[in-house]
Amino acid sequence: MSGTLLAGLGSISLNTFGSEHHVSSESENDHGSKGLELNKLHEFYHAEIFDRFIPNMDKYVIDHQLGGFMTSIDISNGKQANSNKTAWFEGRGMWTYSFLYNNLNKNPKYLDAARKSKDFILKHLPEDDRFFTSSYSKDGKPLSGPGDIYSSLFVAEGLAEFAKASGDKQYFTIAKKIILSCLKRYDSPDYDYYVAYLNPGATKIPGPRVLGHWMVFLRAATQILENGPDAEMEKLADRCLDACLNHHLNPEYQLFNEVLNHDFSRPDNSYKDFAYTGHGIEMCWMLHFEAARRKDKKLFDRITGVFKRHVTVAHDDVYGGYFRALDHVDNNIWKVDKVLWLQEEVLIGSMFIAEHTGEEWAKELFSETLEYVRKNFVKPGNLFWASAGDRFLKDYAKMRAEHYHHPRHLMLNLLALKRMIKRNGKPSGLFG
Amino acid sequence: MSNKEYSRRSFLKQNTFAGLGLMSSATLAISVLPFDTRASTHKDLKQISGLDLKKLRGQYSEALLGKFIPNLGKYVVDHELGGFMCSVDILTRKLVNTAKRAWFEGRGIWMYSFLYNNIDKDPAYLEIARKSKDFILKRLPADGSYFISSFTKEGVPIGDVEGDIYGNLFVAEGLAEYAKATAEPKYFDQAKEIVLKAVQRYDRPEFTYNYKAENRIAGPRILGHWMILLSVCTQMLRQRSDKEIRTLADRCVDAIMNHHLNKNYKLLNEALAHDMSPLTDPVASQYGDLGHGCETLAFVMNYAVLIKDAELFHRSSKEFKRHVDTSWDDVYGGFYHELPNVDKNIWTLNKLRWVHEEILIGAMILIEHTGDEWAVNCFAKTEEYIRKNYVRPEYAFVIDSGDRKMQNHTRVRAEHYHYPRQLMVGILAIDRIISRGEKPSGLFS
Repeated sequence: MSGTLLAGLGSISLNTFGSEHHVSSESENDHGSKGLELNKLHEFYHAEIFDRFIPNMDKYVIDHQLGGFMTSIDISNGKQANSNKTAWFEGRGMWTYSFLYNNLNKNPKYLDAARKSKDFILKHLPEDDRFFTSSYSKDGKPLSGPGDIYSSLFVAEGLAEFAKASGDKQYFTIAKKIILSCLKRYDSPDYDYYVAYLNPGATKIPGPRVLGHWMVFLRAATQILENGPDAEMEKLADRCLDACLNHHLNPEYQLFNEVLNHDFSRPDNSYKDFAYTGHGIEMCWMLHFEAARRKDKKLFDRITGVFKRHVTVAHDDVYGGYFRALDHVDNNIWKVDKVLWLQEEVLIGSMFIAEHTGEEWAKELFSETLEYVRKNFVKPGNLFWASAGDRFLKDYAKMRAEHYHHPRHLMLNLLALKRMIKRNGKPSGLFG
Repeated sequence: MSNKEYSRRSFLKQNTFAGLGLMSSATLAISVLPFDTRASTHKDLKQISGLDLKKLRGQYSEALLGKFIPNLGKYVVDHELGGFMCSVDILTRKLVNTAKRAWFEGRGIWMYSFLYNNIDKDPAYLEIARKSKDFILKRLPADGSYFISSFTKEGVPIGDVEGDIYGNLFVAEGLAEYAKATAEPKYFDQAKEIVLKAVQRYDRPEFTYNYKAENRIAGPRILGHWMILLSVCTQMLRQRSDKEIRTLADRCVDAIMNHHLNKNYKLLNEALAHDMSPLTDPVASQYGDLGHGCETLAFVMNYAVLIKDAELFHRSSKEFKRHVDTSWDDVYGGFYHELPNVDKNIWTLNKLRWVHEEILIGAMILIEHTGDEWAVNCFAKTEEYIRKNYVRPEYAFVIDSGDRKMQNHTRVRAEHYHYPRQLMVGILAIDRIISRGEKPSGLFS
């Protein structure tokens, strides 16, 4: 990869790819994408998907024989750490390969990878309203008890996308049934879920309302609704919007609280001031996508303010990148590790805003973040981008091929770039 | 560590608050910034058009001469014995104690002399400075040691423990300014002698100072010391050329920019070893002295203006911006003053007013000389924050400090240095800018 992704923005553009060439056809017009070299970005994203991610998934992660994904590999050499499979990762992988097939390349191999994963996991579809078992051996023997709500929701998300890819509507029906079943359990006052990512001592809340749950519900609903009307999914999306913007968003400091009581009041324990900024930022772009689907400019603009607030507060001003967890807002207690997925959520959100508004700040944010990610998470010689690390990315996780957030970021932004190039850099005009 | 300045995200921060309803008091921002300065994309504006300077000057003048000086004269100045008794309850206006301090005498001498020299030649101001000078010079140790910290109203030392270097340096700063006010060079010479003797003491390997550390070493190099030395030297050099003072000023700049500035995280450390090498102490090596850092870098910019050193100006302004941006509390606004552990991201959360004032001064230097867009925005948001959080009409003096949200704040102190300095320096800068037709000075263009 050579050249720069930016033009006319000084040091950022010069340093992104180490070249001082920064004149492009996009930069020469005034079509709203001044500052982003769309063709070069397209080239970069395309190569990351088709020359790095997909071939390495094919070679090291996909179980071509039994179906499914074995993501516990050493990203430096592809050596497998274990051959376990999980409901989370089957659902996510099914979604990735179905989405890839639906949107970027109708290669039957991709659909086959999704189909085999679907076959693998649906054998374990619970007959009642329990969630999927969390983990399985390579050949499908359960290794644990029931998983959490995400196990089922990711499978549902994958099935819905697979239904579109295969044209087989029965999988859409199953997906929707799973989602509504999950929602029913979530709405039960005795719903059991422990938000373990605050700290081990945090007191469990019965029937909690969790930002991360609304996030995955909303994403599933939006994607289904993008394919056609559905009253139940519309209602679900409405509920997600209301829960996020009218309840989880703290009115005092304008950050999303991760956990609320079942009745949406604020907990009186350590969750009260817990802002999981990683989910907050991820939530924002999902809200943006839903606002775009509704063509609701007022909603889009409101979410843009919330997104800016979150990326400003979560930014590591000293070393760059974004922190994922503000454990206590008023005491300013942060977890300082860095996770790839959060950086990629920023990239999706900023690209989406840039696409639809042409805002310069969004382009700068995108460019700064991409430069940071490339420098810190893309380690020379590795088969996959590092999924997490310490604050400085000196020590980083080597034993995971991340096959959801990462390809989702690559695919969504590649699609955005294709649309932007097609419009010759002009903002979408979605909102008139 | 990347060379990229991750703190410099003005593209995002400038309008973070817009539409979120967090800053309910937008009045000052509106009055100071009549239109959206973000519209500009030039780093060096051809014309400083984002600030309503005349209005701001009026506000500053009223705050200084309409309120601060009258109240200082009424509640703080000892008109009989000379000196300043700053322990005033700012709400009840009652003195809590009548103690005087070398720090505050030096600062008060400087403040009244500067006021006289630059704003209003009222002999009463000079008289207050003179009486303070007479009060404190009687207590100047003859052996080159530092002033005792505190004295009774009548001047009896409270305790017998030697104070810190700052007592002497503030007195020197006051004397140098007083010398200009009275046109008596002997006080300039005395100021210089005090400064050079203070440095001699500082240069001893056995010199001690209570910097933040798990285990302190003797002979530390301290950011705050270089900072005040540089400030005093810069002011003295404005009065007259002096080889020794110039050498000392250059030494301060070298210490600050080439040694205290941490190479890993690019923030200023408070303490170094005597030979200027970084400390390995787990506390000291991680201590980001950001309040002093912002003030120090503004002083370096100010010195660069004096010696017309463009490279130093740009380098120090870049670091100033990094420190200011890093110190900003993104959740509740205002600036933090210390980062006790940089790598663990552990901040001290209370808010000190003086940090904000030093940032205003630094931003104004940038505005005056380059019309810097970042500085205009920084100035506006800081000004708004100060007026909203530290200034209360019912109080005799501005609030000195408070908790993170400024819900609980200190009450007992009439602060008579940082606050009037920012107002006076601000008025003078505004006057110069207006006299140039509101254009940047062009000194470094």
